[in-house]
Amino acid sequence: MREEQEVNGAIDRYADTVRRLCMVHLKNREDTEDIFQNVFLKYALSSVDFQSAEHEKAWIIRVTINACRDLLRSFFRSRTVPMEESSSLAALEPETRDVLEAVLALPEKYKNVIYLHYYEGYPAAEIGRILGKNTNTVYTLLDRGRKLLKEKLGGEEVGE
Amino acid sequence: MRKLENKLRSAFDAVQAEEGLKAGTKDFLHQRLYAGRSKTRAVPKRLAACFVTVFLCVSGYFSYFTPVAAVSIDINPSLELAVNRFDRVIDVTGYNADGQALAEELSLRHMYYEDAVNAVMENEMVAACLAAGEVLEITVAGKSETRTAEMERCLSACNHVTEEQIHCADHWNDLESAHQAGLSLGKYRAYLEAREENPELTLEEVQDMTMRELHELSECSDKETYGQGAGWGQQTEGAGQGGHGGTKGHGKHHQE
Repeated sequence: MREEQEVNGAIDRYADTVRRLCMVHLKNREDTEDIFQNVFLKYALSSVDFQSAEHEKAWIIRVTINACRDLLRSFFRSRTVPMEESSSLAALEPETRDVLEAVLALPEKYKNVIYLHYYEGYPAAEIGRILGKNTNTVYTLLDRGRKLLKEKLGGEEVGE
Repeated sequence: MRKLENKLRSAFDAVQAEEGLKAGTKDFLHQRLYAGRSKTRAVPKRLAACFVTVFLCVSGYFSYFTPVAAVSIDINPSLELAVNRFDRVIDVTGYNADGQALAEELSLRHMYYEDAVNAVMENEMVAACLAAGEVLEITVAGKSETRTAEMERCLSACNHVTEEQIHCADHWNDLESAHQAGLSLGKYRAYLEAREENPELTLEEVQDMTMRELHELSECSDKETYGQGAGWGQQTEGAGQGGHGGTKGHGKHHQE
């Protein structure tokens, strides 16, 4: 088990990343809190020896995405959670809110690749490793996701 | 950078983990993993201490209540003391009516065996039997020869007891054989001695006989066969209180 100081340091470093992934997938604060506790508990108990900060971040992202996926698969939660996340976007700038709502409106399968590529800057091959998908599949998802975003955001130019 | 890519980046930048969320997560992990750390370490220690205590209690109990020696006191009352490794009497069994009465009358449990033997010897019924010419025999059986020899030495220092009246069983197993026959160790030894000369002698007859009567049986036969080497071993006729104390065979003296 990792020392408390090390775990707190990881929370400070990766809390924003985990929060953004939660925002992309989840719809209320309680679920986000659950994911935070779940992810950093796994981190604290994990014996993985991270070779670099990038390795550690990729591990956090993969665990967070898996935790969100598991939560969304929950039959009970899928029918009981209130829709809060959209309302929380109301506090943001209108342009920012529009972009995030466009991302949230994407089908689940495109959200991760869009976030990982356009925000975290991962190349398709690395995204494939994190998500356990074929690189060509990632390219396809990126291409389709980008087109969907273009449609929603009025045909803005999007690069690879 | 293209325009939408910048928009995505700046939009996600606006999403940050709230301080309360981070603090809540840290607090959760502290409570779950670290606050109870000293407690979780203390639990196995406490558990181990409990196990050790229970083990010591159980092993102490068994050490105390496991007999490692027996002292059989036979006159007419036939009494047997079970002795533990701490030289304490842990059980008293009367093998005839007088023996049972004596066991009930005297509170010998947890006494040192020497004190217990002294208490028996000081008893009025025993004193009356000895005064009436009955024969006293004290027989010792132990799981180790060293203990048996030491007990024999200590018992010879008891009141009204002479070395000649003390006998040692050859084997600890003799005790079990005696109990299976329904006799104390000393009486069983005397029975075996008498039976060599009187093969028709039965356990039922012996149970009601005094030690003097048993020795008289042996002595009568001895007189007939004396000099023919038919004894059990060394002969100490006439020795000891009451003029008896034959110690032929099925037992041995540990001479100091």
